[in-house]
Amino acid sequence: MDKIVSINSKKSKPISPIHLVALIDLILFALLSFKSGSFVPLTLILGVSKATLNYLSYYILRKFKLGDRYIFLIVALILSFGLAMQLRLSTEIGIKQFIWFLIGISLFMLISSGYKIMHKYIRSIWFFYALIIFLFIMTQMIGVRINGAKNWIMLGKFSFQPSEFIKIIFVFFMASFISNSEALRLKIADRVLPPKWTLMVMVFVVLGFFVLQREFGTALLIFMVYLAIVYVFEKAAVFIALNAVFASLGAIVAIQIMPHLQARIDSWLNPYADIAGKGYQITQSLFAIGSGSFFGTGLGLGYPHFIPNVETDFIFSAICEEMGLFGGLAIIILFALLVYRGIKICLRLRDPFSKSLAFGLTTTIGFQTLIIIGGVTKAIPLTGITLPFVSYGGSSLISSFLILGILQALSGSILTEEVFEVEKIDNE
Amino acid sequence: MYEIIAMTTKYILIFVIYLFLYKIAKLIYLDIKMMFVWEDSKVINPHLRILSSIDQKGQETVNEIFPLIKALTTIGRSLECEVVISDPHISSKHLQINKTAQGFTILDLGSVNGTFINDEKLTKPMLLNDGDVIHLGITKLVFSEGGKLHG
Repeated sequence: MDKIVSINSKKSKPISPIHLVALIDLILFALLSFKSGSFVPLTLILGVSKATLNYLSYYILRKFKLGDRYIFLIVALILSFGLAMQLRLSTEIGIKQFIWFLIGISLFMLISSGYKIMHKYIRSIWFFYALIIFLFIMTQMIGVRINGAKNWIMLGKFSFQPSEFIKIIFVFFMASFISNSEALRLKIADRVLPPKWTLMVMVFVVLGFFVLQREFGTALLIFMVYLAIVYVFEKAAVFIALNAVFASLGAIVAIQIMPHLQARIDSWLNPYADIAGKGYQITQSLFAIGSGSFFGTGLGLGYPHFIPNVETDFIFSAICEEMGLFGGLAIIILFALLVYRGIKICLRLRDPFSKSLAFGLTTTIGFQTLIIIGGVTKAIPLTGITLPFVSYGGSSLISSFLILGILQALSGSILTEEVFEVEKIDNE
Repeated sequence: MYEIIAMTTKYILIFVIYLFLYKIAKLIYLDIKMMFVWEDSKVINPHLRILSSIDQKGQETVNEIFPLIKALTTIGRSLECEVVISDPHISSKHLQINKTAQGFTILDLGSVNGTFINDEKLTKPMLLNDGDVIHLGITKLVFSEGGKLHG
């Protein structure tokens, strides 16, 4: 007991990390407002409002005891990187991204305080699966082709990417499988199909849809999330090995019949063979990362526009170019800390549904970061997927905020409620 | 002009960013340490260890630790007890442990199934020694005077 007291008394008011985020915001945006040579007040106003929103959300989360204090802080800094980089790449895109950020953060606050109302009621595995299939069919029917992949839905003036939301619904689908796998015990022609095999068929159908839409990155992502959840909660090593074998067979067949995929593998194995053509993206990305060196060229002094799709897929290369290896490493560390906090939230939850939900959402963010950072640094073949909270895109930013909001809600009221209920049951 | 400012601020930026990372890592470290300190403080003070029933490997593991802080600790199924154990073979108020000048004494509160100390039935108040095994129902408790960590 003495030890506890001594630790508490030793805390002599250190600088709270939230002030540091505000400081970083101010430095970044003040720098950007002078980039064109003359002072642009709008950029500074955006920076100040970003910092103000940080403070506001942070204190609301603390005041109403809405759970984990770290995940929002970590994301606030990741967002500073993202917003500043978008604004540096192009003012127009930066402002659009800022509007999405405003919508995202309000959704985040809404979900983190209001999610508990629906938490207990919507747990039907068939409902989630139907929702996934419905979104796929909608995309196929009224979808629009952008950059070769038919994966956008236009709603009036807005367009959104259903796959960004499918990955969240997929985690809910997996969580409802973990909490009630008996729902999948099907009887087909007098033979009972074990739930795991039904699940496998269902997941491979979803993967097939993704491949049809040419979204290999998201397909890989949800497959990894699926394996991670089954491995952690079902402890079925043989089943997982079998899944991996099936998926790799499928991937090999897909590579054989799709020239598009073959080109990606080629440009991964040897991008320098065709620098002007197939290998252009990845070599430009590598050159950018290389020219950044340890501390980067300085914000606004690099040439990130040489990289195609720099504001979405290749944002990490642009950050590495202008903020250096240390900036890039900071992003990776931030995501690692976020995943660590997510796993910690998951460990404290008791209900299998919430537990697997927290785990699935955390691994979604973690794997997504790994896949895209691995892709742009040529560690794995490149697949078009966004870096959460950093890449440009309304769908991507909003789905990342949704994930964060649900995690926050799980760490807050739902956690306290569950612990309380478990104690009550134990005592009776 | 802008170039010079941007070149210098990049070092400041990296410094502040890593300061932030350090702060977060430190807060998380303190968070984990507090958890351990709380667990340790339970072990340092006199406490009861509740053992799980024998697992597959034939080993008993410590399930939970109850610190004996109060002058009087009652054990039973009822919510009013300080140590609540959900075991159907335990009475609602099964036994109590008193803190006295000589040490901790244990007393059965007229339970149905009785209490056994080191396999002997408890009939009168008894002084507990370090390492005594208390049987009640199908639950096993070990009394420890504490003092050493991870013992």
